Amino acid sequence: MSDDLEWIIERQIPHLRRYALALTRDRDTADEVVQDTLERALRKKHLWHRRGTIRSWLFRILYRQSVDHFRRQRRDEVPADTDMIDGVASLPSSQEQRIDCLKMAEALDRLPQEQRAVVLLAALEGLPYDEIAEIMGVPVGTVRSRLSRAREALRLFREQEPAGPRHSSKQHSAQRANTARLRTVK
Amino acid sequence: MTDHLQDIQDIDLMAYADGLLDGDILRKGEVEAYLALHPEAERRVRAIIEDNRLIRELYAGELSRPVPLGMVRHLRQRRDGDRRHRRFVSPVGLAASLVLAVLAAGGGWFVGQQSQTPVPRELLGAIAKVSGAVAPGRAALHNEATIAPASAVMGATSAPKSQSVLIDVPVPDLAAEGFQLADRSVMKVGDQTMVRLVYQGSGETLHLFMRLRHTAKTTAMRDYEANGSAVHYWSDGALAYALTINGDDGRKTALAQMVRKAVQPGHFVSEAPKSATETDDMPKHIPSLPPLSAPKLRPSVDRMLDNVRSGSDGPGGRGTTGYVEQSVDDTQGRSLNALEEAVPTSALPVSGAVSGGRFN
Repeated sequence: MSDDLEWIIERQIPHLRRYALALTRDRDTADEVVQDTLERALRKKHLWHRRGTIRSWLFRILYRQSVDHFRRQRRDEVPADTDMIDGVASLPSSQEQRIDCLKMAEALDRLPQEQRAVVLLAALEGLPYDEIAEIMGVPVGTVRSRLSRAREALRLFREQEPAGPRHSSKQHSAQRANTARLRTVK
Repeated sequence: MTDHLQDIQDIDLMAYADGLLDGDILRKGEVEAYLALHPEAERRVRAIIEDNRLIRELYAGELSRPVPLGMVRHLRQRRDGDRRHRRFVSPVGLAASLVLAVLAAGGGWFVGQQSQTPVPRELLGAIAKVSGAVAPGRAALHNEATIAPASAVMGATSAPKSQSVLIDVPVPDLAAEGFQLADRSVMKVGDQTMVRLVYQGSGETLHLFMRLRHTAKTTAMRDYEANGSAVHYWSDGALAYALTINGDDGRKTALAQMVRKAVQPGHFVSEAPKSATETDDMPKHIPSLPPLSAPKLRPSVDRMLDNVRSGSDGPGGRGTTGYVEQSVDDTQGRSLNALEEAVPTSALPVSGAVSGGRFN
């Protein structure tokens, strides 16, 4: 089984990297978090008692690693990785789609960490809410409320915020203030 | 249907937008009916679906990015290690990933010992009958390291040399602490023959030595300084252990305690496991075994060392790996001496610790 476990873990690495990147918005940090996750999973694999899926177990470890990372960084917001967004923008997609992606990236940046984590698990990984609850270590009702609030915040932000190029420092400060207001909504 | 539509809640809408109702056609139909009647909810659901699409688009290329080799190397090493361990697992259902069988000379070894021996008394009688269970020259134990200590080690000089007992010793599983078994060998350290297990973790190496003891008792862990390095040693039942750690000094005590917790007492068996004579599914070599230079060895000793190095056929046994096949006869001493010659001095870090009865 141990052999199989490591095989399954390896299959999850791309998903873990994607989720870590979405959480941290920095490739180096994301890979660092994933590496820590893998090492911890191997070290603690005896603690996986076949309760739930290996996927949720790995994502739970990764989420906690990211929380620890942000705690060390003393922040719960992430800087937008311009290169990553530009990478997306360079995709052969329409100008309108590129702008929408930029808006979404900025909107996600401004979500509280626990809301962003839930939204990404639902949207990126398509996980059912009970599995998200298991990963986050919270009741399903909490997942539902965080998801609901996060989506409402995304909607408001996207309706209010102008899309397009990165903002000036003055605009950025105004956005931070707006972010702070958003963050009080949990 | 209308009654059911009254039950549609926010979570249903989100679940619908997230595609979680695709497997629940009935509920999905109810939500769609609800959306048809509630344009505001329908707009909200469409917005969620669009948000999800944008988020996936934002990270669309991530799943196809090549995974850094360094990220999977550790996993694959583990998997290879586990495969090797699994081949070592005895088919008789032993829980340990690897079992060492220690062939001890002297059927009367424990006879007359005090009651503190962990061996049940019923086994004591069986020990005398073990003689011949593994015939001289047929002591090959599949995937086990078999050592045949000199009778003096066992304190059973009066016992016929052909008598033997077998002790199965589960190899400690340190995987949970990040250490993998990298090597195992039988070696002569001073005048003692021991089994050595080498574990490797991230930047740390553990050398665990095990040998049979004169008496069965449990002692506290002690430290001994030898040749500038610390040796942690203790006794547990029929076995004595010595441990050296190459790594962070600050972690050595904790690691030693971890190893001690992981070791399990050996137990007597009346005969070698069936695996002792089965060679199917056995690896043909152990890549991690260190090279042993054995110049001028007699052919029989060469073959014995080959068993350690590459799992090739040895005298009296078929293709196996990682065991040393020895019979309890007059040739044994010469064989062990040859082994001692073959083992580099640098591989004997506890020689100072085991002399003078400190490691017993």
